[in-house]
Amino acid sequence: MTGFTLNYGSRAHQSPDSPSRTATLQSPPARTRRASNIGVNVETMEEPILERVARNEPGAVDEMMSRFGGLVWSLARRSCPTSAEAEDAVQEIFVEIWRTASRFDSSIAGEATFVAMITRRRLIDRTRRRSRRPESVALTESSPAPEPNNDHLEIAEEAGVASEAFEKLRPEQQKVLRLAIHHGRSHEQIAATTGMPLGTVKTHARRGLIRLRQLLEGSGLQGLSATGTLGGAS
Amino acid sequence: MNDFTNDHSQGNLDHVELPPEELFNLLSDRAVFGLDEAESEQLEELLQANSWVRADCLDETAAELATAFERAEPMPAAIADRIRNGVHDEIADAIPAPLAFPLQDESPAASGPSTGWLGWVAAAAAIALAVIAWQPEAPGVRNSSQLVSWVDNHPDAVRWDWAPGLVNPAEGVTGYVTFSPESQEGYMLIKGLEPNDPRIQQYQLWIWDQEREPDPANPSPLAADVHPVDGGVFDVNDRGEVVVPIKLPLRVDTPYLFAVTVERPGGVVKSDKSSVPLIAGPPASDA
Repeated sequence: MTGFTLNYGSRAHQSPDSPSRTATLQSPPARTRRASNIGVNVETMEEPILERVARNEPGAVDEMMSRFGGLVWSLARRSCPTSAEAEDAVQEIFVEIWRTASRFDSSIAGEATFVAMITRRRLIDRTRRRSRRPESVALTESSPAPEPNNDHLEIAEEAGVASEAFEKLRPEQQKVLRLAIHHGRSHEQIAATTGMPLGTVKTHARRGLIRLRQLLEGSGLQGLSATGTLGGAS
Repeated sequence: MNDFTNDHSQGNLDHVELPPEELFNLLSDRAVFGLDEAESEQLEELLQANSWVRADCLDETAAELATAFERAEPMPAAIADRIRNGVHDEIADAIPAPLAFPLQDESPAASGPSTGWLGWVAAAAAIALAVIAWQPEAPGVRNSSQLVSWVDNHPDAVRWDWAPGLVNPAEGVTGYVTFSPESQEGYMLIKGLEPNDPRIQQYQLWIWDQEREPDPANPSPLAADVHPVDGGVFDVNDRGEVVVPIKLPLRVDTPYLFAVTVERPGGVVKSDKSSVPLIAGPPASDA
């Protein structure tokens, strides 16, 4: 291996009590673990909704849209040039979440993460399809560091941990990931804006994202490793 | 320190073969920027060769970061109403959509013991989606009686019984596959195969063609350089008898083996053959 640090073999030599090993081997149910991080039992406050969606329970889809509508809408508004396109995208995304809800595994990720993952995939696909069209959103680098979203407890919790981890990345990794993920910029646009070579942009994004995953795993937020069953919501 | 190691080999991590860096580069690029077609195909191949790496691992990380960046704004009420109606309409359109043709005069096999070989839930049949990759515009054969007539009218057609496959074999399945090289048409008659939830997995047919072998006289389906023809994905939503038409993207002149695999929705370009419930080929006396 060259380039970035993926310590594949090193875990065999880790202390059994090291945080990452504990997180991987003992993975408690994700929601319980996250709830303990903030001292609030989320499970008593909100029942997981995606499993109910997967079972086609009456009202589950409406509740899912109510619970995650703000998150999906915000991501879509940021990615789509018009409100009409965002509306189309959100509808498509919620249908996709309905189709894939049975693949949600709470021991791997939180519901908000699952929803955001499906959302981002759809939005990236849409962005790539219209990539030949001119940009309609002004590019800015001056956005603040991510702030936890307080509209929803689970989202806020996951966001808070990710936000802390993000602050630990190198400045150039933060810049590239912020432009790519928050502003939806392509690597070409980021290169043009920052003056970085294309390859450097991708390298910062790759190393930053992998480092972020390592940090989140250390925090217990992403409880399971990168291994396991293949596939998922793709 | 990280968790990119295989949970199934905890005691033997020093001997784990490392996946190529390119795999994680592509996973990262997909999560952050998206991939083009060529890159997606390359990623697919790398994932198949490194099946212990979870394909979503970096997508999840990017999603976590996206939620951290985002300060959710409420959806305007009018838009939320339209979206809610649209979502319900699409879901209603998707349920149910029969993909194969259960026979009216046959009792469903659902009363028999469940094979349970994939752990698929029977309830999935009730919410089957219309996601079949190909579907006949005007199917000429819808039941086993019609299929018998079709076989009679296609003397060049092969007709081989299903047998349990090599990996996760489907026991108790009966029926046969028939294919006419002349007309490039064919059908699968299947009875007793576990219904699938197309939102989770689909069946995919593969056909080995002797003419596409490096050495046609000595076909070797398991050889690395032998690639079966993708027969498309299909769904089974009834444990009774179903007839599924075969339509191929490529010509098959001398089929010598058929196999049904279980794949993710939409199918795959190349199967890792981790689940092969059914195969069909010439009986030993014909081979």
